Amino acid sequence: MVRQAEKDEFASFVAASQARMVRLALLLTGDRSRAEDLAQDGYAKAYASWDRIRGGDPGAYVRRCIVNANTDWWRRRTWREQPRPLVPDQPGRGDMAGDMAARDMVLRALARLTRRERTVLALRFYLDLTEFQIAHELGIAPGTVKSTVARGLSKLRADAELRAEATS
Amino acid sequence: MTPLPADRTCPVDLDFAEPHPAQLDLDVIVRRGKTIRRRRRIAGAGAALVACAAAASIVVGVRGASFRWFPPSPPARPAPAIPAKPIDAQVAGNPPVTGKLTLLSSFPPRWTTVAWATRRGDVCWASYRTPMNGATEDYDCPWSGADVPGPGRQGLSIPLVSPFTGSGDLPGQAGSERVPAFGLVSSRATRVTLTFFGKSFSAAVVPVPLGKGQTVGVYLVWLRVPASASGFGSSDFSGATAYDAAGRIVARHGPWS
Repeated sequence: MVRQAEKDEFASFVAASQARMVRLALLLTGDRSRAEDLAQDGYAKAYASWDRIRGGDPGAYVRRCIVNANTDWWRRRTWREQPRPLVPDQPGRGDMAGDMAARDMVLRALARLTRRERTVLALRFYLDLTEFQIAHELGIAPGTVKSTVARGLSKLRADAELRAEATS
Repeated sequence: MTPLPADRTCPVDLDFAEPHPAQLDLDVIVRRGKTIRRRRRIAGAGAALVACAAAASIVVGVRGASFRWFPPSPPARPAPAIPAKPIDAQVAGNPPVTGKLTLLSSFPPRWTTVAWATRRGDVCWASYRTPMNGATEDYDCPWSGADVPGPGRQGLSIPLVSPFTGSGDLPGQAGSERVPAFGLVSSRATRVTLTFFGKSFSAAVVPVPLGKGQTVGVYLVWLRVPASASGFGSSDFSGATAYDAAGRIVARHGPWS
């Protein structure tokens, strides 16, 4: 009974938070299936530690798992790929074409940033964390967060595709 | 969200519409979660042997003593029929660069906390109880090589506060909760003082080998969370100072707000 109650509580937590967690992972990776893998891993680790974290902030725990796992993945790569369009440039047909095109353009622009710039911008502008919270979460200096945010924003503003879209 | 000046707003909308809503497989998540739990328990059981190795250091009160976990390099001969136990999954996945773990703390009683630098350059810590009594170990590898204090880098990392699994073993819990905070500091430092909820807490710095004769200072400071606090986190630190053996300030951070 206790285990079932625990599972139900965990299921509610997943249902309520998965959209944001998968989106965070998507912003970090630019790849939907990898984003779902990262989120799934984060939730599995959260389930393994559920007794310990349920009374605190399990969302922060999963978020940190996602960010760390993405960092680990980058560290462990033995090769470096060049940023490339993550999806075809041509939007598909249908009612969702506009949404898809906007989404793909954002992901392509993020793919042109460094991993740390993407992470910091996602935490700052998607999850609305403060620069101090991001610094604590990533274990880096607040000044580093600030300069990374500034550099990332500057790159996005100078991004040719985004500029072209804004003027079209 | 904190209001931002116009030039610090994000030029793209990260909350864009998603044509395909996320639908993760809960059964797969729970199955994997159970597997992780099982692995941690097995690893925790094996950690008893490490605790035995650490016991000698605890008896003589030596902090920072190290004990061998893995050989520095793989042995040329075949592994023995009965492999050395235990192999903590986390340590096995992040092998110490020197083959040794460094004792960071033996508080509270029956708990041991160790730290080590990995072959990849990360710095990790792990806490475990002996005997387990149902507790699982805590561990994390929160720092990469770029976070290690050194020339041109910060001399003191931001403390990372971690909930403690074995809170039932902590003495003097009445009225306030004790939690550990971990961090890196220049190897010149011998002591660190953290200001948490306005109060100062100190601990010695333990040198942890990075390989090639280099070390990094790692600290574990036991903090007290005021009973009136509804929660705690890294944002509750207002400062951190590292001192060398002569009492001179080696590095200082904060106040953070």
